[in-house]
Amino acid sequence: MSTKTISPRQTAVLASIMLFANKILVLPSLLYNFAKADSIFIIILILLAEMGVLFVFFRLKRNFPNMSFYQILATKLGVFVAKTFYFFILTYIFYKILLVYNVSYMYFRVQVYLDATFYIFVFVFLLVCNTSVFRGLRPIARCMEFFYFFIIACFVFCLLLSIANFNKFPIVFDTSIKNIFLGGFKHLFCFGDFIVLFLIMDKIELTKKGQWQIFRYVSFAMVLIVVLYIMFYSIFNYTSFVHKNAVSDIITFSYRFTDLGRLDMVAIITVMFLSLFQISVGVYAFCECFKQLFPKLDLFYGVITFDLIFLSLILLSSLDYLQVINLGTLIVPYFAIVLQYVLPLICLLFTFGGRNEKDS
Amino acid sequence: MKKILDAIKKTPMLLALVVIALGFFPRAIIAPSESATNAIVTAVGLDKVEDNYEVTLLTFLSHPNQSYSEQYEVISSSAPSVSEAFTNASLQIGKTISLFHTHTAIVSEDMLQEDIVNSLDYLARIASLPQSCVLISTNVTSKQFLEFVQELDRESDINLEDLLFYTSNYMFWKFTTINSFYEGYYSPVHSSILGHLTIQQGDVNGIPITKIDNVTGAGGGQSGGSGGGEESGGQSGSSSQATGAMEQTTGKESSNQSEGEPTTQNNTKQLEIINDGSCILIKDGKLQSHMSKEQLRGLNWLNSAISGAVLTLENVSDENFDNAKLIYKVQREQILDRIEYENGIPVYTANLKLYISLLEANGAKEDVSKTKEPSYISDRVREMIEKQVKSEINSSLNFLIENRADTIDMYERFYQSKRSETKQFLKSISGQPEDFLENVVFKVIVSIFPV
Repeated sequence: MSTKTISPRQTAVLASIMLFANKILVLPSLLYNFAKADSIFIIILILLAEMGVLFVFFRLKRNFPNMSFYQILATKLGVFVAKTFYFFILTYIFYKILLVYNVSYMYFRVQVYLDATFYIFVFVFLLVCNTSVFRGLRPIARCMEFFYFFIIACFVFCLLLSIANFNKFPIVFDTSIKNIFLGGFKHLFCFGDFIVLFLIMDKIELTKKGQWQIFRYVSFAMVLIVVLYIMFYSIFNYTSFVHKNAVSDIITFSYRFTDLGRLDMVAIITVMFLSLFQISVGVYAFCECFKQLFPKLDLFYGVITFDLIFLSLILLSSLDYLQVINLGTLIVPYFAIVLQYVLPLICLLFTFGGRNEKDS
Repeated sequence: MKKILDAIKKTPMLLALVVIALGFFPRAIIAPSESATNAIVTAVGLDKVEDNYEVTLLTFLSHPNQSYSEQYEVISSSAPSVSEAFTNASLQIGKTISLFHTHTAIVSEDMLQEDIVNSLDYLARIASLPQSCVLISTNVTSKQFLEFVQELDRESDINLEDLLFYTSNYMFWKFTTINSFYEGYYSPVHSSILGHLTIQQGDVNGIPITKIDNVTGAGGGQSGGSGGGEESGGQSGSSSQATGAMEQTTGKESSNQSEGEPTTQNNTKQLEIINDGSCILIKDGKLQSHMSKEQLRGLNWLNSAISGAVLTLENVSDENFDNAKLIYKVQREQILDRIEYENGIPVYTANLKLYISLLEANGAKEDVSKTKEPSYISDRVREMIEKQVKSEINSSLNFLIENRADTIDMYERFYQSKRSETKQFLKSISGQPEDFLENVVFKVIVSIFPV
């Protein structure tokens, strides 16, 4: 294995960790406003679509094993279209990082660091993420692999504890199909994290067995997410819209646990690791796009550009998570649908052109 | 030095660690402890005093001490809004108010004359009050209540959290937390139940605290036992009766001073916190009605999670007893219920299986050792228990129907399992989910088994 590539297992871990991004804190509450407990169907439908995207990725990788995503796009659609797509992907990934950061910041501020200033968060996040990017994809993936079981164990622990708070099965089929699709469409920006896999596809070593491994890991993560949503709506029912920190709130809800101290520390640690990894991978993907858009500039410029835009947006416009989400529900879904689903469909068409492109 | 720089250059993560250490360690070392900057609130009370909101905080203030002791203070502050009152309270004690460890929120009955959701919203959404926090109401002001709790904690090992935890587990219909209140508020029937703890004067079956108030008057020959007005000031409405009771203090004049000179009185009074299992019914965020222990027990028969009810049967006459008084305890309860529509009418059938044991028996004819077996049940006893349980359920349901408060989620249960029929039925009545309960036919079958 090359020192710049990641193994199928590391890819599986990366994909499943990215899958949790923006879905386990504020999203259940946001979806409830559109589709009540039928939001469970939204999450199932979109996750199935994500699984479809994953299979497109497998097929693309099988057909073009040694080519980067940019090379595939440039070969098939031309350099201009490839660059245009990359520009939009770069913008979209930047938005997603902004969202993960703001939601995590809101969460940590409410749960732990009431007095912590905004600057401390920016400082810590950017420093760790920048350093991770400089180290490269493999160290990030290895670090994820190291913490993976711990993160999953913590998440499962939260779900198990939430059983004690289980109230009653949520009322489903209580809203129109239109609301379900509208809710899903408006919040598409919280999904589509597998786009990162496309961007780093030339750094992934994928075998038939490896595909199965990725599928298993991702399926497991999807099941955990769906269980979280079912538990959340079962516990909170009519008050789901109030609870903005789903994974924490499902365990702190019960009066039974208040004497046991801060049980939500488990959820806090889980979210902390997830956010850090998601942002690190996000910044790495941003830099990958930047590298293709400006081939003469190296990684350092990519990181600096990201930092400058990120800091200026956050500090000058005082963006908070609500503003970022509002922006997301207004404009981003149109980008999201193109980049998350239309682009993979176009890629799927490439794979039907025969295997003559293999290793070109 | 060059080697160190080279090592750092090769391992940027080390650089990150160094930068974080330099940035945060000095700050962490010189920063005061959180307990010095934060006031840890264990209970919070809300009152409405004229047009102002009064916030009362039972606060844990840590002081370094070698012995095991905890110092609680009651801090209160009022302002035109709850958030301002909180800010004022924070200013008073010079600490940030932290509600993360708050287990109890208390609202006075006066406060419940208006929709409390707006006031609670600040606490739950902005001030991070845990929604698992128990929400209760009281007959006095929450300030008086928390002062009492402070005394209670000082004089005994009984604390409010234990009391409420027990009550929530064994007596109330369900946990009366802020979230369960919200759940009722935002449900189609807009009603919920809150726990109710009262403070009364005298020997009334509760936990007593002797309170001595030093009241200094302005002279003018004030004497007697009416000086306890400080405790009951600002009371009105439904709580006036209870505070009236508190005003009847036992005045003991400690100094007999002449007219015009300041007088000092020691008013000794015994106050008691009463936890009798009664509660209050909240509708649209406001106090709708008080619910007695018996009415609550009637609802609890339909809740298998609540057990331990004590049944008293008077004038039992059967083959072993003559006009006896038998006391049974329900050790376990099983409910098999069914929801259906019969000829378009919603019917709720509950098959209650009560596993009971005899606690006390007064009035045995003979052979006491046999009849006092815990498993003793005669046909007459079965009949009487069945009648009593049905009567209590009936009384509670009538109470809920009168108040149009479906706190037993009957509408929701029918809606969930028989949706189209429920929608159709609702259209045929007023169309309001609140009116659904009165149209439900309840069929209760009680089966008694010895433990």
